[in-house]
Order: sequence, then C-alpha cells, then structure tokens
Amino acid sequence: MKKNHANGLDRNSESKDRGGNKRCPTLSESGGRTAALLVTTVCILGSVSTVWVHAQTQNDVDQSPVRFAAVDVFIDSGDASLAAYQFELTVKEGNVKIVGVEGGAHKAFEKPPYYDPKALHDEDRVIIAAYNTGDDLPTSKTRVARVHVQITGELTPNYAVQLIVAASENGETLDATATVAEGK
Amino acid sequence: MTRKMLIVIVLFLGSGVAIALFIASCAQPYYLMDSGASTGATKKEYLGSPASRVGTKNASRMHRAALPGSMPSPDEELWIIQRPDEPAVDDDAPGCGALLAVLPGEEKQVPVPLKHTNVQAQISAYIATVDVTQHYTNPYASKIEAVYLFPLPQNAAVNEFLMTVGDRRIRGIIREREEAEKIYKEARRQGHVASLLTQERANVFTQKVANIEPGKNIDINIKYFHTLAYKDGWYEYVFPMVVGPRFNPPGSTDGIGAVARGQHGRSGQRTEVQYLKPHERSGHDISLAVNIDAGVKVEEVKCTSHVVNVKRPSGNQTEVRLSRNDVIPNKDFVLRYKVAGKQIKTALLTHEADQGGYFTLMLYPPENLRALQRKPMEMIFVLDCSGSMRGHPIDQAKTAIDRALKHLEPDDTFQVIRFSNNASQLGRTPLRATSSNLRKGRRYVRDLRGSGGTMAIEGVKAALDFPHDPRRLRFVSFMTDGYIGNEMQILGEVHRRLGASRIFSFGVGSSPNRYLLDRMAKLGRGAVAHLSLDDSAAPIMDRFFERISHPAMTDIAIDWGGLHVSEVFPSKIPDLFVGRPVIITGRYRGRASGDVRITGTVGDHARDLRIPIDRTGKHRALPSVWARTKIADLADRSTYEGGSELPGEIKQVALEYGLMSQYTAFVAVDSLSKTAGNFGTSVKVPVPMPDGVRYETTVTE
Repeated sequence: MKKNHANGLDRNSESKDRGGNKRCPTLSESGGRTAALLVTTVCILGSVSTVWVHAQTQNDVDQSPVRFAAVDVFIDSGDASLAAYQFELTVKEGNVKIVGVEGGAHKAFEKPPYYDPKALHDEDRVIIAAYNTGDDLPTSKTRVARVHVQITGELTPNYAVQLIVAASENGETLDATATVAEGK
Repeated sequence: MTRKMLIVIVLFLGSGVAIALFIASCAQPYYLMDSGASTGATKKEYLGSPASRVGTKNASRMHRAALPGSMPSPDEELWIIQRPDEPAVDDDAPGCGALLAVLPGEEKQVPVPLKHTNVQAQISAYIATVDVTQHYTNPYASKIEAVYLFPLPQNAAVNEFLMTVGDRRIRGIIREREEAEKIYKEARRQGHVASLLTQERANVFTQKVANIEPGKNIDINIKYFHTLAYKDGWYEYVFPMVVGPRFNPPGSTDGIGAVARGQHGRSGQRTEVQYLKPHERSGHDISLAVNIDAGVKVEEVKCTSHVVNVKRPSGNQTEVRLSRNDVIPNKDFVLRYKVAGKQIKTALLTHEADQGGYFTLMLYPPENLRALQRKPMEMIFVLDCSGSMRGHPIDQAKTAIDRALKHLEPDDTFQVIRFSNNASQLGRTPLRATSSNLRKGRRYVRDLRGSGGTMAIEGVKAALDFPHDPRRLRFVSFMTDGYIGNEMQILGEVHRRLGASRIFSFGVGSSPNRYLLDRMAKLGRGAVAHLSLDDSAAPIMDRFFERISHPAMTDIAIDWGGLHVSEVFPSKIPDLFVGRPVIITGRYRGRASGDVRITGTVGDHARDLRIPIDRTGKHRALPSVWARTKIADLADRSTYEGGSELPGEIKQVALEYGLMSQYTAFVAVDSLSKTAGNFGTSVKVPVPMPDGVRYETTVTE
C-alpha cells in the first residue's frame, strides 16, 4: 500500500487491513487522520475567513464611496474694499481631505491662496490667507477661495468657516463675515 | 476515492480559489485601457497585476467587467494572459493622432505630451528662487496620462505646486506620499484632471498628469529654493535638464532604469527613464532666464554649457537668458558669475517667522591659508570606466588625471584605480611620485577605456580599504558621471570605510548625478567639482591642487554673539579649504548683538574670523532652506544609521514646512471638471540622451 507522505493517509481505505477486514487504525494512521482533519479544518477556516475578509474589503469599498467636490468660501465686507483675509475652514462632520486650493472670483484674489501646511497636518483644519496691494479690490460678498476636497462615505460633510481677519488696503480690520457653499 | 477524500479535495480547491480571489482583490485593480503606449497595439485589453493580465473573452462585456475590483460574472470565460516576454515597442504612442512629416536626412520627430519647460530663476545674495513651468499637451486622438521623470537640483526645497487647467489655477496639497498617490489614483479613475509630484531621489522627481483630453493643455508650476555653490571665486547656478542613464547592480529593483522609448518595464527597476534614440527628437524644448541681484556689481558672467544672452539693466543686476538656438534639454545649464571685490563680504542672513528665527551663513576660509605650505600627500585617483563614460567624458577625466599627476611632488605617493564591472589598479600599493612612476601612471591612464557596468561599490572599496600612510594626507579623487542607481548603498559604504581619507568628487559630463557626487564629498569631508564636456580640464585640476595644497582650517567653533541657536546643520562644522566656503543653516531665538565669531586652527596656529549679522534682510526662503537641509541631514543619517524613526522625522519636517521629500508628495485635483470614460493610456515622456553619452552603451533595448 503506497503511503501518501504528504498527509499520512493511505491511498486505499485506511480502515481495512490487507485481508479487507475492518481494524482499528494504528497510531501513525491515527496521526494521519488527525493531520487530515487539521488540514481540512484549516482549509475551511481559511476559505471562510478569506471569503469573509474579501467580502469585508468589498463592503468597505462599497460602503465608502469616494467623490470629489468643491467648497466655495465667501467673504462679505459690505461697502469696504477687501485687501486681505485669513480664514480657517474645518469639517464638523464627514470624512474629508483637502486636495487642492483655488483662487476666488474677483481678479484681486484669483491667484490660488496659500495654506498653512502645519495646521493642515497637525490639526485637520486648513488656514488660508491672501492679500492684494492693488487698487482694484472687491466689495460686498465675494468668493475668495475654492477648496477642492475628497469626500469618503455617504455622509454629506458639514463645514464651518471662521474668519480670522479681514483687512482694508490701509491695514484696518474690517467688520466682515465669511460663509461657505458647495462649489459649482 | 471515498466521499471524505472528495470533500477534502473540494475544500482544498475551494480555499485555493478563495485565496486567489483575495489576492486578486488586494492587488491593484485592473482597468480597461488603451494599451497603445505599452504594447504598441491599439487593441483593448485588461491590465492586471505585474505578473499577469486578466480579461474576458467577451469583448462586449469588457467595460462592465473592467470596473475596479470587479470580477467576471459566472457566465463569462476567464482568460489569463501572460505578459509577453518581449514587450512590444510603440513607435509613436497612443491613438496615434499626431501627424508628423519627416524629410530624408532629418531627425525623426516624436510626439510627446510635454511641449515646453520654462524656467525663471531669481538670485538674491546666494539663494535662488526658481519657478519651473511644464506645459503638457495631448497630441494624440485619445485621452492620456502624462508621466515625466525629471531632475531638479539636489538641494532644492520644493514648496509650491500649481496646476493650471484652462484659466483656473489650483494649488497642490502636500501629503504623505502614499495618501497622495491614493487620492491621485482615485481622481484619475473617476476622470478628474489631477496631478501628482513624487520624489524618487533627492534630485529626481516624477510628475503625473491625469486625464488630458485630446488637444487640451495643462500647466504644472513647481517652485523651489536653493543655496548656490561658491567655488574658487565663482558663484554657480545649475539647472539640470535631463536624468542620466543609471547603471543598477544585478538583483536591484529600486534603482532607476534606462530603457528605449516605449519599452517600459524592460529594466526591472521601480523607476525608469525612456530615452529617445540618437536620430529621434521630441518637440519638448526649454526656455530659461536667470535674474541676478547680487547686491554688489557682477563683474563677470560665464556659461560654458549653453549659448546665453546677457543684459545688465543696472549696476547690481544682471539678466541671463538662454538663447533660442540652444533649447534642447539634454545637458545641465551651468551659470557662473563673479562679484566685485577681492574678498566676498557676506553677512549672516536671517529671517523671523511665527515659529522663530532662521539663519544661514556662508563661511569663507581665511585668506591667510594660502601662505602655509602643504604636507606630503597620498593621491588616489578613482576613474569610472563604465559604458556611460565612453568617448568624450572619459577623455576629459583622463586629461584631468594627467594634469593632476604633474602637480605631484617626489615625496607624494599616488594610485590609479579603475572600475566598471569590477575594479583594478595601477600598483599593489601607492607608488612614489618619481618620474618613472609618473610615466607609468600616465601610460596606465592613457590605455583605459569605457565599457561595462558601473559597480562603483568596487571602486569605493578599492580606494578606501587599504592601510593609510600616517605621514601623508590621503585624498581620494572620484571621477565619475555618477550614473548609478544604488546611491544609498554607495554612500553607506563611503561612511563605513572613510577612515582618514578625504573625498573630492569630480562630476564628469554634461548631466552628472550631482546628488551622489555632492553627498560623497560631504560624507568624505572634501569638496565637489565638475568637469563638463566644454570645460578645460587643466585649470580645474590646477584649482583642485591649489585647494588641497594648503592646510584646511580645522577644529572650527562658532560664538553666536548672543543668538540662541538650535538645530544647526551641518551639526559638525567641516574643515575649510581654500576657495571652498561652507554653508551653515539653523534656527535661533532672541536678538543678536555684535558679530558672529569663528575660531579654528590652521596648522599649529589659532585663527579667527568675524562675520556681521544682517538684521535688515527679510529672507523668506530661509525656513524652507533650513527644513530642506534638515531633511538632507536625516536622509544622510538613514544611509548609515538605518534608524526606523528617521523616515518618520523626515516626513514630519516635510509636512510641517510643506516640502517635497521621499515620503511626501504634492497632489492637486480639479473636482469640478470630469472627463468622460476611463483615464486612457499612460504615456511616459521620453527624453534625449545627455549630451556626450552614448545611447548604445547605456540603454536597454
């Protein structure tokens, strides 16, 4: 009887002797069966866990759709000309990553503003600032920046903007407000 | 076969299939692509993991089945298509919508997605601020992703990245590299115009621009700062234009491979450069302008690499512009200028930011070093005789060694070591510089030829491993183009084996690997020089001997005059050689008073220098320059310390200062514009072979 050394099982039915009589398995045969059962169990567990992990991976992907969107930030300085600003944009709700910063609608702020990399990476917020020393400056409500974001998950993000400072061409602080809206 | 066994077999097979499914799901998703760039064909196929390609037989179902992460439905037939042994060559790339006419005898024009590079540099004191704009376009009939591997100076602090789509400009965000790559891939998959800048080496970068539609243009603007080198009385501004073909030791996979245009994947390296054949020419050209505001009169301007036009709008200002007749980006742009005055008077430059003060100091050696006599020396010349050095480069290096041998005195000793696939040398031990030995040395050098690989590690071992003669100063002069993919390994060996040697590296050719040469010299406590194809070798060697013939100023200490300095780089001030200043940069608190005082020893004598502090200047580049220097210091340490915390430290500094590094990347996504269909074909921008380097000895065909 040829042995299958890989798993310790006899090629023929392991529970019969040469005469074809039923007998108790020997120790080695018993060990072979144990090994076979062990391998079988591992295979089942492996299959189940593999399929489960695969399903989880698929679920993660399915449950966390990724999309890209834009958030527009507006500053309303009333009748005063806006020459400089600094604001902080935070995400109150939602899984959002900033993937680009674009300038505003008015010529004075059309260049992409600078952001503070330290704040972005240390505290998950973005501080954006720009200034213009020219004469052609915006008044009333104007879009000063557009922030491109990657949103993961179904949840619609909830943003908050805090105006740190808005200033006139003379360097005077302006009484202004900042708001956000979905970019289109 | 019993039922039990059958169950076991079924379970085995089941688990095998499940494992295969899992591996497939973990691997990079496969997409339906126009594979023109990679195979030369225009048929549709699936690209899968590197080992295999998976697709369905039913072409009508291809798009549905090709969704990332999806698998063929049960009624579909699964094909496993092996990667061809010989990747096909694309002769002109995807879609082949470009119409080009070639007349007999003319160079063949190759359409590429990079049309033009514009470089604008502004130099103030010894700091350059450089804007590089790459104009990408799609000359094909289908959508593409452009991929361009390009060089920047090895000490460039890249801190700005803009993408222009039409009339809209989007500032890129610095992120951890892996995170940036994921964002880019997702944006690319969804059809958004997106771009990604990653760093492969300190001086080699990859730019990717996704979803460029036919006929559309996208501009990428990169801004960086760097300090200029000051060598033997001349400031030197360098803009590298092409990555040279690197040799990668057998078995390595993280090098930079050199392959023929359209033959990606042939080198087996993680990063590859595709080279145009000698008779080919892409439409990519370059314009470059440098404005120098030296603060004092610029006496002389010299550019040996290119034809330039020079204007002097005012006494202290000079404008240098690349001639329109010299616009092929196939060699480093090297501009040297001299300012008025016998001795440079440079103050310590400062900048105060929210997070504290930053300074940089160019420390010049004292003039009186020249009066002192030199000690006997042991000169070791190490010459790269690999295939990339063949022809003009090796001739230049041989001329330089020949000249150097003339400078030796009878009490000196010398050795010549050559390396390519292996290393060999003139004598078993260094020879006395007698007339007959010098003749023997010249003959040996004259007979050397360039061929084979660049096993620089063998040259390093041969040059640094033999016993040092304590009566002589040992100088090791490496002459190489540095076209080596395993830089980290070389630098690690230099650090381990240096001993009493000092390394002076000579970069040979039109586009040497300046990063490797610079770091070898720094680790080797020496200096770097360059020997371009247009340079005269004799004066460069004369200056080299002028430098090493006088003792260096050693044991340097600095009294900062009331400044509370911290994180100063280099942490140990190196010795000062004649003609070679050292740039020191650091952070400070408080206000300085008086001068900074430098003390040191020359021979047996104490020397001191006083340097005024410039408090008037607002040098905004200094935080970035400091952060970049710190990153370089950490990267150097990682080559010989191998600490697991070093990459984390590099990443932290890079993210805090918004800088490129090996572990960070810039990503920009235009969320508002979405192109139709999948992202199309990836097209690698093929580049010309560096001037003077032979295609046939360096490129894998």
